[in-house]
Amino acid sequence: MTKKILAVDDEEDIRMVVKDVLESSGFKVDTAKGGQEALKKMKKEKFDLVLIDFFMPEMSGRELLEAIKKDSQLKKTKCAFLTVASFPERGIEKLKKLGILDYIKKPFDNEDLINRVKKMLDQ
Amino acid sequence: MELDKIEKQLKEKDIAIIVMPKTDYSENIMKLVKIISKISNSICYVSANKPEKTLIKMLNENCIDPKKFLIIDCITETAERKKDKNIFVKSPANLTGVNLAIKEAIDLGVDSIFIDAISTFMIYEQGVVVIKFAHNLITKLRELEKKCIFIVMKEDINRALLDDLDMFVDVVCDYE
Repeated sequence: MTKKILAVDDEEDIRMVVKDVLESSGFKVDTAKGGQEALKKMKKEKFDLVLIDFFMPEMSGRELLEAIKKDSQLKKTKCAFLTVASFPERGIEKLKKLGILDYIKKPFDNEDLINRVKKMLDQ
Repeated sequence: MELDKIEKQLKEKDIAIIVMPKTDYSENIMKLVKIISKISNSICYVSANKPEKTLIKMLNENCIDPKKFLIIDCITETAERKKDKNIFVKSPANLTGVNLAIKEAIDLGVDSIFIDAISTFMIYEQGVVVIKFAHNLITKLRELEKKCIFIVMKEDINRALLDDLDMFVDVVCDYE
């Protein structure tokens, strides 16, 4: 069955690139421009993986991740960061505790993104 | 956290947040600055809430050598951009100007950056913009192996923004 991914980023260009790259590899991709829209979509439809930007205006990526993990209906959804942010070791540990599976740095290599998404979906 | 414990943390860690209550703020800031002036030889003091003149007076009153400091004053409205080595930025809302001034300070060889207070910038700009500014600054300073201390006024910051900033630093100290 086709795996469904939600890409959450406030920048439209990034949303489109992520969608194109992952759809070319056979995934079904939906996008959201912020945390609230992402949560609404996740309540309506089940996603296998959510890729989250960190720096977003209305709700940061960390806040969205916390909201997902606190919600009994959504908490099992796999989540990863896809962001320009650089985290020190301490930050990465905190993110793992919050429940992210991976942290992909922008700008990303298309092949690397596809491989890491596949790896996360296989986990 | 007590002052001696904060001093230990600042010696060991490069990037720190210090959360301070507004009560006795000026007095407590000077206690911290005294510590930093012991740890660092040359400090860039980014002031978003005190004019350069007031700050120099406070340093002198607390027996802290002002010559160790390059002040970036985001408060005083002045026609001149530079006075001696100190730099004036028109407003705390001008984060690009603050960024350029910090770059100049780094080029002049400062080894620590003291930001008083990152929470004040959040009054003038969207939280996400200030968090990005802090993140970019931290990334640059880590490469250059310099120290950075972000002061956060407890009453001025919302918890979510502090938690976001917390992801990028080495230690968060709650000043008591």
